[in-house]
Amino acid sequence: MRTGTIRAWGWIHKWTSLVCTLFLLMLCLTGLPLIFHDEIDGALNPASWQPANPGAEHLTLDEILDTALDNRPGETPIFMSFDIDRPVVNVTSGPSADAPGSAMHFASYDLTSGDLVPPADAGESVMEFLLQLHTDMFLGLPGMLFLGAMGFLFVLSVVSGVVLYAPFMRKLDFGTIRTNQSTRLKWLDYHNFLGIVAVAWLLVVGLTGVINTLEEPIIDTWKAQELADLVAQNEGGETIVPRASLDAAVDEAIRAAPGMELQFVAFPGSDFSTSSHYAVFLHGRSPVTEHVIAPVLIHAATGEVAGLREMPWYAKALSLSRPLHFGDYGGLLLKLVWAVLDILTIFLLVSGVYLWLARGKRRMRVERQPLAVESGPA
Amino acid sequence: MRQARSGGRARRRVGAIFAIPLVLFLLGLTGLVGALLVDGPADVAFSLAAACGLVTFAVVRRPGRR
Repeated sequence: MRTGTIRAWGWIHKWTSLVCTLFLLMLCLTGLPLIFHDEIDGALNPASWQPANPGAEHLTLDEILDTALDNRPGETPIFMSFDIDRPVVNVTSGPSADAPGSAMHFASYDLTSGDLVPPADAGESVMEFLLQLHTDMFLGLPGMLFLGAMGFLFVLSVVSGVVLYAPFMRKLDFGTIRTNQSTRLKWLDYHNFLGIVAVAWLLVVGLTGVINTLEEPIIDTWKAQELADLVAQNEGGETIVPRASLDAAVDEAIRAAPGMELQFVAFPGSDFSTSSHYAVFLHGRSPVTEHVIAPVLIHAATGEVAGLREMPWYAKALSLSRPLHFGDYGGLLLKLVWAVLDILTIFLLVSGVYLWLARGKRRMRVERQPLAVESGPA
Repeated sequence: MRQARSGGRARRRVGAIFAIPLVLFLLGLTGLVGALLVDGPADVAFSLAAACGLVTFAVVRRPGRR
């Protein structure tokens, strides 16, 4: 590689790294507890709740919805979701179907009695705070897009680091750590070694993080392109009041998508539906398809089935990006691997800043040595 | 493997420099994606594959030469 080319890649590596470092540090620190979200929730909220009438016939979803709306007069249903391991239905409501998350109300109901299930939310406010900081820094879409840009710089930094690895290692064996020379060289070797062995994880987490920040534009594009015909049926734009049976809608959806399981229902006007349809979201049963969801749209006034709408590739990419970013799709072993890599990324960031700060000393000492490629990456 | 010599140290070719990192990259990527696509005992194997870089970092250390 020519000296000019190395300098150009070095410039890219230095500035992409320096610009995003502070934000990446925040993302690593907030991401660490989020990896163990389920374990922390479980520890803080031991499972003590039991259904009121175990073995009794379950109430219908329409009855649960009526109860939920009686408890929240004047509110509109937004989402309904279902616990996997207990007979509990969760209803999210708000002043309008497109209410922001902060205005939404979440309540859980016992399917055997219709009673409210006590919220298992000890520690939830801390985790919500961390998630919001990690996702958009409390700035909404601009915050998400800004963090997406930082993620893109991080990916560029990793790619440029890989390119620079070659000239750095021309005369060194893989895994060489020069501990008997300057502190800076030792840190440089650790930085290079750690960076190159963690490239796969760094790129996967970085790229999926960037995709996740595009969640809102991706969903908007999906609605504008794939659901355009359904949106056009209700051009007035008014969100219609659901009248068709929710149970019948869910039954129709399951019939329309054999082999899939119910995940959640988005009500008319919510982010994940049109202003006139129930969107009944289903997911696959196999490990390959369980992260890919598909909605069956059912007109909320007439109960007419609009059919299963396969999510386009970009929406599927978003579905797969979420677990791949947070590392919560495997067992505890994978989470531990994720956590250690997260901590080592913090070391990578800190060592990069150190190498940049210590560059003056290095220039004085080794600038004229023949091994010119030992100039620091940051 | 053809190697050039300069200043007494062998200069390694790009293929030799990236051989081990490439294996670690492919193994790590297989682990990360495989754990997403497969459940059960194979999950552990894929998690270990995802950890190959960490294991390498912990085990492989070569002292530098003056």
